[in-house]
Amino acid sequence: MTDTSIAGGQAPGISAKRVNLWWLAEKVGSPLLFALVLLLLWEALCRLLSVPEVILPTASATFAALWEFRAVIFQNAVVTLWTTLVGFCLAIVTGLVLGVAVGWHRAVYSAVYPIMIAFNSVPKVAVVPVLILWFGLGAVPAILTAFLISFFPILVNVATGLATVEPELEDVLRALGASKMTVMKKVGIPRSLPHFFGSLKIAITLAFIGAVVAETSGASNGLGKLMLDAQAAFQVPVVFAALIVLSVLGILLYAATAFLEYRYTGWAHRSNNA
Amino acid sequence: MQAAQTASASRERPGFVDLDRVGLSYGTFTAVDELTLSVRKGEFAAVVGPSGCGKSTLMKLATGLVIPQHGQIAVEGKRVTRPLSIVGMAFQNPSLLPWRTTLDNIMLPLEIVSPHKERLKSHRDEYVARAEKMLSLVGLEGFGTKYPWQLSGGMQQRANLCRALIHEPSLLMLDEPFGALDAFTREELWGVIRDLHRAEGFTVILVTHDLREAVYLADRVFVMSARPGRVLLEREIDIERPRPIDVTYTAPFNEIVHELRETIAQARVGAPSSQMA
Amino acid sequence: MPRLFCGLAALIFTLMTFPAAAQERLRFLIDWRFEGHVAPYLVALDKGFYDEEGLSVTIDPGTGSLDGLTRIAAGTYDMGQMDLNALIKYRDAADAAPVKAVMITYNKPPFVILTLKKNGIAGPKDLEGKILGAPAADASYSHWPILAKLNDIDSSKIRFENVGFAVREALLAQGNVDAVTAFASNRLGVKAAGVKGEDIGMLLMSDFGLDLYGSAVMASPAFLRDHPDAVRKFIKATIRGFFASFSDPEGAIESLRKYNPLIKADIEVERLKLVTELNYLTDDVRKNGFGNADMARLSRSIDQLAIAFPFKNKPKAEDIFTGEFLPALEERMFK
Repeated sequence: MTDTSIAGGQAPGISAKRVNLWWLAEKVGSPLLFALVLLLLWEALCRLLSVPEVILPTASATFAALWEFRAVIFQNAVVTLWTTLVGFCLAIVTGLVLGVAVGWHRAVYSAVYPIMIAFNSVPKVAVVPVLILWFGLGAVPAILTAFLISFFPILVNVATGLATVEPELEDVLRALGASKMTVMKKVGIPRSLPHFFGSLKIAITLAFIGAVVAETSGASNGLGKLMLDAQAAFQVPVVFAALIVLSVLGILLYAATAFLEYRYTGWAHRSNNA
Repeated sequence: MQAAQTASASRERPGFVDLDRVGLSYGTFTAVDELTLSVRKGEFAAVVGPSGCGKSTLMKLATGLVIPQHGQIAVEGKRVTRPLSIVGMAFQNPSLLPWRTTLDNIMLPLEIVSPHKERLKSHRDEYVARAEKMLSLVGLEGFGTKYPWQLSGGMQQRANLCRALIHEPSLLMLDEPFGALDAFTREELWGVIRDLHRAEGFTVILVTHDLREAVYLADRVFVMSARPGRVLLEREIDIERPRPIDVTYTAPFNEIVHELRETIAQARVGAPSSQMA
Repeated sequence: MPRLFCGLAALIFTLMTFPAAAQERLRFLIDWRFEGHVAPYLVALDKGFYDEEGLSVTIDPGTGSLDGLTRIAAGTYDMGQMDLNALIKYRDAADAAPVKAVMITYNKPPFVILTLKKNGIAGPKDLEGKILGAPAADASYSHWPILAKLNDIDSSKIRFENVGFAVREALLAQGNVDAVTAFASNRLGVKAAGVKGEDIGMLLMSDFGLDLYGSAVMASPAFLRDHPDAVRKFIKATIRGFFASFSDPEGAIESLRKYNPLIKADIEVERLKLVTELNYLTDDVRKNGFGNADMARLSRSIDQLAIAFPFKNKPKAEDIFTGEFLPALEERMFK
């Protein structure tokens, strides 16, 4: 008998993670250590080369400013986070709906896809002033920019996932009399879930960028606006403190979606013995 | 002149699956032309031929997935105009859905085909029992809860067969189902399908490039020509059933295989590489 | 017992809301950020001058005069401080809302040309043959044609560079341009870019013939019509805020900090003092009081604007400003 199955559920790739000390050290400890090294390098460089504060403040000055102005930084971080998440949710809904529509039929795919690419190639920075003109200053342009920048990867991934259902499987189901809708529901959509979740990581990063870009172009609140105000008040360490907060937020958002992806589509990461 | 059509014999008595002078083209590309064959009810038919001869097209025609431009196809005496739910299909690629357990996978047709679709919720236990029975028939007892990625290729293909048969179809279409498996597994699965056929009595059309497989399993072998495909030869396999695997090493068996092989070789030589109808 | 408690709570709630209900609401918009030179408004807010007049005022930072005018016209804000010249151009459109100015704050306009003393530019005519950094959206730059006409300058002999606001002062400091158009307070930006105060040259456009006013407090037509008393009270309290800032600039910045925690006190004090000296508390204001506009001068300024701006429906001085909401002269004299 040559039929041996991989018994016991021990799959190659991601298995049930045992969160032990080693794992913590590797996944959390080493990046932190590396970041610390970079910060020390930053500090040393500034001091050694006597870089003026208006060009690049020292790491220590930046963190001091981060602490001193923590209240106003926190308030604005919340605003940026909120506009990012709202824009992101809009992008998910739109990306899903349009993605299903586009991936449904090859003809729709061929017609709509090139237009989508053209649309997506327009730098959203150029669109922000138009949005401000239409919707005034406030959260709306920031949310819309976040949405416009981030829905496209979701759409593409969902559409591609749907459009690549194996023809044989489709034949098997259609031979049984299944309608296209049934094939989509039972096969197409579950199959494209990994693609969908994978695109979330990209999309949320883009949504974040979109929100901050809109803020720097003239919204009323948020970390982007804070950076502009700090610059005008000649508080350069605050500018860099805001930058650090932005990068930390970015990591957190990315990690959150990566976790979601693992949770809901763990099955897709196991290798298939075809 | 190479065509030795014995179509007249089949036309006398209408079979379970009837293809009568069927022609199908995709644009200017003619897949099959004047294809005539007839399979009796409960018969195990094998279709062999050179690659590209239209065997897969035959699959699609018989199941109603494509409609021919010429000729007629009938199943159980009724003309085929759309997919029929009394068919089960299995391809070389098992195509099991990775997010479902093996059991849920083989029960998939029950969610699509009436009357099972409507009865599934209320009679779930009954259907699960049926699925478990299928699994044990093919030697996968106890593997229902496993995911496809936990099964080897051979086991996935067995599950694929279960899925093709769960809704008790009267016609089973197999398209080179054992092509990707190693020699031992293949022989094992020959036994499985042979026994299933004997036990359940459905009609089988097996498309394969393996002549030994065809002769071992089938009651009748159809040899197709190169594209555009048509039937060159029908050969009854009169080896006694049940057939143990050693029969493949006997002289009568190999004579038949040899004969078929020659026919195909001539068909490949004779036909031009592309033929416009 | 529960009934007594509820009754007490109701009474307390009523008492709490009562003062607020008696106060009139007023939404005020500043044309730019909360920087040192707008401290006077925030002093009035912080020290309760508006409360004493029975006004419940909210003040927001803005994003430029044009956007601010639109919002006042739309009623999103009741009043605001915006550039008077922007208002004049705004009123040129036939369908423009009749927003009106009720108090001049910038007696002299803030439009300047900043340069480095070593570049040898003593007057605008010296710019011929030199490079002038002029951001396209700069209000100062928009008055260049007036300056050129009044001083007989050949603009074709000057190389204009469309520099971004963010880098304007830095480019001047680094010597990439010989001079820049700017507002007076941008002098601080040149200092921050590393130039010593005594090396910075500043040409006030008002010293070279420009007779425009600067910014003013304006109100939407609906608000003027429906709440004239509130306007009067607002102006009164605001003047108090201005005078308090003139007397105690450091204290004013402390008030400012409460509304913009990001500021650096010393820089904003310097900014406030600079604008006070150049624009708020000019000789004209010391003599004739704060806040009023000379209608003859206002008419002249509209004519001057016509040099650079093609009016289709040239507004009259009375359309732009009204002094009817100002308090009596004694209250407008700074002692």
